[in-house]
Amino acid sequence: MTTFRITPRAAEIVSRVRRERRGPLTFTIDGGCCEGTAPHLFEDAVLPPNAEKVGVVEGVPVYLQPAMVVPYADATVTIDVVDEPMSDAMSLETEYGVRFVLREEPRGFTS
Amino acid sequence: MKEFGLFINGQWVAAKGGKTAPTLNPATEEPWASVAVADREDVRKAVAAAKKAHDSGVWRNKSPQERGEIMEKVAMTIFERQDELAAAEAQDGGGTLRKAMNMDVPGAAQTFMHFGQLISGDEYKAMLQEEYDETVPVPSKNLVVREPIGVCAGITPWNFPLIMAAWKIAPAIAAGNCVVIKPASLTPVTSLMLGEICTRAGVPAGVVNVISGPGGTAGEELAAHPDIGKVAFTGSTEVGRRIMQLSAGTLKKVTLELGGKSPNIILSDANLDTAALGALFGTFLHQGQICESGTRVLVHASIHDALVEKMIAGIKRIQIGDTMDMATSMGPLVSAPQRDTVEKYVAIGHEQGAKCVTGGKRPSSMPKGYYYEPTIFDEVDNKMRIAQEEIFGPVVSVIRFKDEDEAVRIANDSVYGLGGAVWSANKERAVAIARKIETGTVWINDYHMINLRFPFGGYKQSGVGRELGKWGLAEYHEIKHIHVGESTPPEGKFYFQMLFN
Repeated sequence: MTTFRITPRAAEIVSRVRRERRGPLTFTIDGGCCEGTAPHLFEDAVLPPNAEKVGVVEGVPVYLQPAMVVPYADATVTIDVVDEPMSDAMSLETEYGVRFVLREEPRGFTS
Repeated sequence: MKEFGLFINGQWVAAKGGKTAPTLNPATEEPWASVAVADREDVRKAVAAAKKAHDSGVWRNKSPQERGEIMEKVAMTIFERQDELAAAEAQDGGGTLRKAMNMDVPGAAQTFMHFGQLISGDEYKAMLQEEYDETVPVPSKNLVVREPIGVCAGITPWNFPLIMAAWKIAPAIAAGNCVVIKPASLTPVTSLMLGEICTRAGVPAGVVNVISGPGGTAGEELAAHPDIGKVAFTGSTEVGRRIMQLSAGTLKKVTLELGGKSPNIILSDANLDTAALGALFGTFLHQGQICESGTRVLVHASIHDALVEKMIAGIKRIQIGDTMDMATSMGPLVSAPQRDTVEKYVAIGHEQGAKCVTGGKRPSSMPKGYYYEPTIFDEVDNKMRIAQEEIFGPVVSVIRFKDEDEAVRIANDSVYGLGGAVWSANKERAVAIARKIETGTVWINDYHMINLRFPFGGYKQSGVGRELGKWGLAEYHEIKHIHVGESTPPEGKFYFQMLFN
């Protein structure tokens, strides 16, 4: 089971986005290329049926995209936020010059 | 410090809000240029310029030969400004000057040359209009014609800024479209320069527009804009999904080129010296920041030890250093967050029990800049995270296999399917294996050999659609069927009997 946390600063950014946007918000976590494995905050996101919900923050559900479900099955992940003035991620927080990132605790491997 | 505005309608313009941002040199961590930052209004202005140019017919009404000639001039102009472009590319993205002079600038010029020549020939003429005479159900002449789509958007990544801009501009304008390009915010300069180069070479104002701005505003605006008929994107998976979703509202054509975790398969009869260098080349070129990098080296158990030994020896021939020195073959990663990601995955590799046989740290010789050493993890299980998740840095996983079936199974055990290779002295055997791998490109006895004549793109989560070659060119057209029926009295239309007594 994935254990999910969020830092106070990241939670504050989520609240701010929530106040300024009207549509339903979701966090999705996926990998691949430029942003690394990162959480993206979207409005009216369309999710594949095999994405997995792992938590809720400030009323926003958090999903693992299908490719992340197995790698994060027994992880403890924390959503944090960093300053990044010119991000190309289309995630909603980037308008404030910050970007959500994922912090993880170390864990082993069994094949 | 150099300053660049937005390039809209054949001119340099400031962003409406006057906003600018510095762009950093990853080797020095210092700003080296300042670039305008587009807001939503600037994007709409660029789209309006492209639409106006398209509707005026100033570009689409030229014959393919005329467009081709102008595109060849663009290629020549790129070559004329090679030094300036290469220096800018190396400073903006942290690639080596060696790569910029030998790959980026010639690659961009060749892209314009290739598509310019492609549209000037008979094959394209035949593709533009096919004619068929039919007798059933009624006598008719049938034309199948291809036309430009209209205004196309290209959103490009920071690893090969100039080449990626060329890949998004050249086929689009070859087909008669007008374009708006949004380069990556980390590396906007050479794309902006390319906009100007196109205009200088004779591409009419408004046909090529380049706007630098963040993905959340500029990218969103382009993906949702009703006057844009196609968006082509190269970048990360989640952003690609979002672009496809935003494009759905206006039913745009969408081409996505996303991530990869490509398998580089080395069979026991491969030329080991070449395969070892190929494994390094496939994964460390441009610091591993290439979508189709062969980041999983699958090696037959019988040659595993010899291969790894040769790979470790080959690393000594890679020179990390000052990117502007032509003796340097490996520069820094593009940004601090990118290096953080690489370091995170190296730690994960260790945690999960993979064996780091070289690298795995920052080079002590380079105290400034986002440098990282080429890193080889051995004894990797394909289920480990470093074998499944894209790292986008100089980290390769070596995985053993015992037979071909296992190699294919491991190769396909990935959500991605962009590139891959098979190394073997037996080409037929290699091709047979290639056919079983779920990926858009398979190189045999080679890596990174992208040829402008042939389609490039991904299976599975690596993307949608194809770029390059006549296949990529075709995707920048609409298709129209014109049925030319006979002008007869009503009795000649027997099918009217369905309705009329």
